[in-house]
Amino acid sequence: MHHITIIARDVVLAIVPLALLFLLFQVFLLKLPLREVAAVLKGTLIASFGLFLFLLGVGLAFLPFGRAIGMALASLDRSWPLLTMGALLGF
Amino acid sequence: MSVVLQKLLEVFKSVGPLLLVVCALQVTLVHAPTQLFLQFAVGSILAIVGLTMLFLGVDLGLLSMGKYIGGALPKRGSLVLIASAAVAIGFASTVSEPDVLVLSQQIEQAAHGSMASHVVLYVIALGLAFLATLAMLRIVFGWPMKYLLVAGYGSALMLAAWVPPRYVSLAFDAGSVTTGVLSAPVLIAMAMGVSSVLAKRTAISDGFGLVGLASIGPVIALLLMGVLGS
Repeated sequence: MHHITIIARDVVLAIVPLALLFLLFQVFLLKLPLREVAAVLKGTLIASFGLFLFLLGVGLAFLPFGRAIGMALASLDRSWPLLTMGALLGF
Repeated sequence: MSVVLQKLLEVFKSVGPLLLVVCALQVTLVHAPTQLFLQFAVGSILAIVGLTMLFLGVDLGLLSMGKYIGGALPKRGSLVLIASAAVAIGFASTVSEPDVLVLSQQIEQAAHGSMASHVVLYVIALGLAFLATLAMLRIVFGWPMKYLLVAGYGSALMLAAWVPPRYVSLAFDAGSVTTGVLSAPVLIAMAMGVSSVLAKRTAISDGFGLVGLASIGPVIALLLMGVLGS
């Protein structure tokens, strides 16, 4: 649970500046019709929820498992599997 | 609804090979405990759904945000406005970039708390913001890309020669994570917007290049952090 609140805080801290910036531009410079503003904000909201799920998933899946793969590969005594896997995963 | 499916397919195409390779590794080499593998499966589903929504949100809102702002900037003819907007958008879009968030968390974990993740995050974002501004001014003045590239990478290489090696590897990773799903489209849309309004500028030679230049910024910034920190 603690993990989830940290990610949620990260996402809010990440998206709020961008959204505020857009609103600032909107008020002083852009003056777009309300429909466009709503569309942009709706997209931003969807993106931030997606960002939350993505970070949650990465923390759960890829970071611990990537570590396990790395440790298994590094403990082999030959280096070619490490090199091939580096190329394959990078691709 | 078909847009959602289309995005989901796009994400599957890009994540699918990675998942296959990981599964193959699990049965052949890694043999991680089942619990860890299940955790991997659940996490992958979350990440796929999340990425789909992120792409959707970028398409629906964030791209037009960049385009609107980029198009409005040159109309006032104020360089100060263009420069400060580039700083602000560069900083804000980098701070919200998922790749950058993941990297700065990994750095904090690997350094066992000796480098706080938010410090790393802000250093990366400041570096990007500074170079994004230079790149934006390049569009306005029509400076050749090659001089800026030589100057940027030249100073990065020079700095790399005298900071502790661990900063060098961090710095170049930081440069590449800033070109991710969120900041790249926003920055490119902004650059396109600016170059489309300026006369005599073509979107191909001027609209692109901003992200490439801007991503040298975090490299230089983290190297400078290494110089100051050691």
